[in-house]
Amino acid sequence: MSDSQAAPAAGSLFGEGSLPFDIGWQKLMMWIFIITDALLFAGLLVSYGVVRVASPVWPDQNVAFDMNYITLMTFTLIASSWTMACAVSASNAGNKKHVSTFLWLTIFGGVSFLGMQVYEWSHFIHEGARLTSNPWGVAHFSASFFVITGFHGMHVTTGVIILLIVAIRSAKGKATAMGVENAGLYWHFVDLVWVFVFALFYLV
Amino acid sequence: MSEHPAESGKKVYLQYAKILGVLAALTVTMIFIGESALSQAPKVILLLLGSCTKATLIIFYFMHLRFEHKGLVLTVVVGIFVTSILMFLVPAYDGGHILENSLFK
Repeated sequence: MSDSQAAPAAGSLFGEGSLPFDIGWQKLMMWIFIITDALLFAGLLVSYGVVRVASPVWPDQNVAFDMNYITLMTFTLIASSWTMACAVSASNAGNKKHVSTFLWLTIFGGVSFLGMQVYEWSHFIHEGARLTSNPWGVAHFSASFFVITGFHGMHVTTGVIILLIVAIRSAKGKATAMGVENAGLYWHFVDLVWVFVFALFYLV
Repeated sequence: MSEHPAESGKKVYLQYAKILGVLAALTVTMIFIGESALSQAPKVILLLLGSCTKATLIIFYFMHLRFEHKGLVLTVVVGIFVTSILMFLVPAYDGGHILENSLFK
């Protein structure tokens, strides 16, 4: 076999120096990570769905949770996604002042969401909910709650840490537009997951 | 005449704010659906439709997927949505059988 058959030619789709999706490797890696992580959450939500279908009874969410509070959490996260989108836009336009402002607003939104989640968890635990049991009778209810929202909360925490690093780097003039965009992709993904958690866990 | 960068920036922020408004409106609609007296099946379908609409807005506008290469769009859409739907359909169908032979009965 000749060399030309063994390796893709330069300039071909997967050849040396070409970009199959017209984006840099950092962004491509972030998208691949997002797809795999989304499937992980899909697995968790599907497992929850099976448990729901298999359980003849399920506690009323309105009894266990304060829906106004959960709605506020949702709006906080959506609003932080907007500020993040603005930060990415400002970064692409080279407006450093706006990047910094919007990044810190996003961090504030993320920290607020986490604070509210900590309060929600402590309230839920205070009411007697544990990983294996709860006062509402169906053990899977609290187990699903802790696993799904806990896993999402971990992602929000990671997102806040990433945003803090990007904001500090931005203040020092070291953050690149690609860095801000990748942090933004991750943050929007965290919001995306909450959309499904909110609908399937709190509203169904 | 070229637009001032600050002006175009404000325009983009406003566009994103409109998306935010739509997302907020969808969230409120979904809360009403969740609180409604609808039976479980149509409620789940409507809420999933609402969630998918919100997810599409976030992915295509906030995450800028609509500006990306078609191959990446297909990879993400098939990778996330189609696989998730398939992942859900099989166990959900089986869940009916689980319910029939439920240990909780």
